[in-house]
Amino acid sequence: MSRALQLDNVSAFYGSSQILHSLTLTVEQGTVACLLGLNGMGKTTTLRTVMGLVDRIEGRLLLNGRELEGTTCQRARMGVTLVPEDRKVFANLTVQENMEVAERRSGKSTDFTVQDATRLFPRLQERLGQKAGTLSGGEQQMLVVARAMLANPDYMLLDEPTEGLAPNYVEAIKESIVAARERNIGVVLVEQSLPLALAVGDTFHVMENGHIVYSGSRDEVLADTVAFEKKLTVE
Amino acid sequence: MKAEPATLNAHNIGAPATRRSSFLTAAALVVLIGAATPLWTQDMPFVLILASHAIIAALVAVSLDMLTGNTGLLSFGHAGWYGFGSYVAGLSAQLLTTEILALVLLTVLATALLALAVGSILVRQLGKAFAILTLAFSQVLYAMVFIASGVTGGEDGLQGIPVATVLGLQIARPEVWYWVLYGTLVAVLCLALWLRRSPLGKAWLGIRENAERAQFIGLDVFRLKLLAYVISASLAAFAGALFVLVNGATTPETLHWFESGKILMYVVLGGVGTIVGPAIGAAVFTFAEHYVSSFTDAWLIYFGALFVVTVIVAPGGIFGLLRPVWARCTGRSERGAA
Repeated sequence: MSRALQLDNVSAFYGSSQILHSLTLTVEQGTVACLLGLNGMGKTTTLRTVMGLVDRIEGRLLLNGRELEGTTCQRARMGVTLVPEDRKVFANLTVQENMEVAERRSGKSTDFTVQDATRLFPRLQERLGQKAGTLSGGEQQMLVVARAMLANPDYMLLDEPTEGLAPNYVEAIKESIVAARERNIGVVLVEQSLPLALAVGDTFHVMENGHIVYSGSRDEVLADTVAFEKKLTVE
Repeated sequence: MKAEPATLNAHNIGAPATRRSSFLTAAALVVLIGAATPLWTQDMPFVLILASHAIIAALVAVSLDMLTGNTGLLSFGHAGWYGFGSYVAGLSAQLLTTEILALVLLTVLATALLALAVGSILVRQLGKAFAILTLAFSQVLYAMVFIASGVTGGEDGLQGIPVATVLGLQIARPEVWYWVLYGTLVAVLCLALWLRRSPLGKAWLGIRENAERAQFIGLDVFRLKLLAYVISASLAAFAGALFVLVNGATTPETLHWFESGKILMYVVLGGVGTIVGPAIGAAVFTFAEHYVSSFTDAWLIYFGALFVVTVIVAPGGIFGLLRPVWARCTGRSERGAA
């Protein structure tokens, strides 16, 4: 059975507006796929499509060979979680409670636990008893990434997780993406920061007007970064 | 950023074991003082009866808090379940058995089934729509009492409910009822607090905070809300069953929206989402209602004003005002108290 998240000829609609056009994308488990492109090109919609948050979908979505369908919650339980752009922690709960809400163990020894989360983000260890709404933006972002990992998913969808963060927090998020890959979690990373994408990505996909106009491996991109950067700028 | 994690416990923020045991001792003392009420009210039987009614009010307040405090669903018609429970238990006592355990079990079961059916529709609604629909449902139940007056007694309600029994022994004395109710309240509070700290309770809090984000991490918002609704309705009906057995009668007023308003006020006065707070709010309200209404017919105006003042000045209610003391006793950081 293929251990991958697959979008097979997927089109997505909001009302009568078609946002994604026959998108085909495969993300192997334990790899990081970066979705790049200008604003409004359909990157976020791609993630929302996977989670069943668009009005209508055509084509097939497969998760490890199984049809990915049902409500957002059912999809999350099948093994895919989304960390949206706007952080939205559970503001009135403590950091520890935020993590405990999300923790879902499969019983395997490799399960990501609250203890693992505080090891990955030591800053959160210092804030365990603090209400999440009082954390700084960077700390909140760490918390939502930790929360997503605590659901022990096979795949994690990250929508611009470092947007507006200070460099030390960007570094922490980068480490968490690497840690996720090491735990055999497949990551779809929507990112504006090319340096971050290049630091963690295995495959790179450039989107334009709801289409994937370029797909390449890390080696292919690194072979000619100047040409790749050109694809991400307005002609 | 690279600090080695310390012991993983949110409660270790200034929470020495001695402080915790002092708190437990104080809590045990409060429970014992409450249990001793019949001993110092021997010359004031009415106070004991009022205290029993305050406990029933506390139970129904906790039941609403199980819904509103845990999931954020605001019910304007909670008295519907309270009254429903009183009628089911009352009718069952008249027609089937006087055994209290059988009566409450029957009431809770019947309520859970109806709440499951009604809740499946209601909890899909959000915010105001849910609140209005709960009000509408309770008024339907209220109307049913009059439509089926041959069974329910119509405006007169159910009168002459037989005295409840435990294994054939009658529970007739007020102090015995008080101890039964008091023990029940303590057990329900412990259960509710345990539930709050359980993974289920944490999941409820997650959906209360942000239902969409909760779905992203795999929480089934619909089922969790439905479960909270069923538990809350069943507990309210349980309180209603105890009411009719203590009181020996029930009337349509138990289902009326005015009663729902009172239950909501218990919760707001005590502190939404604090479990213990609504129980305190209900007790304070019940005693204040009796004594203030004996001085003036305009007591509702004072209570309305109290409600407004509470919402504006102390949105956390009585428990919110006591929270610093509570935090100090339990050793919990105030920032960390959810």
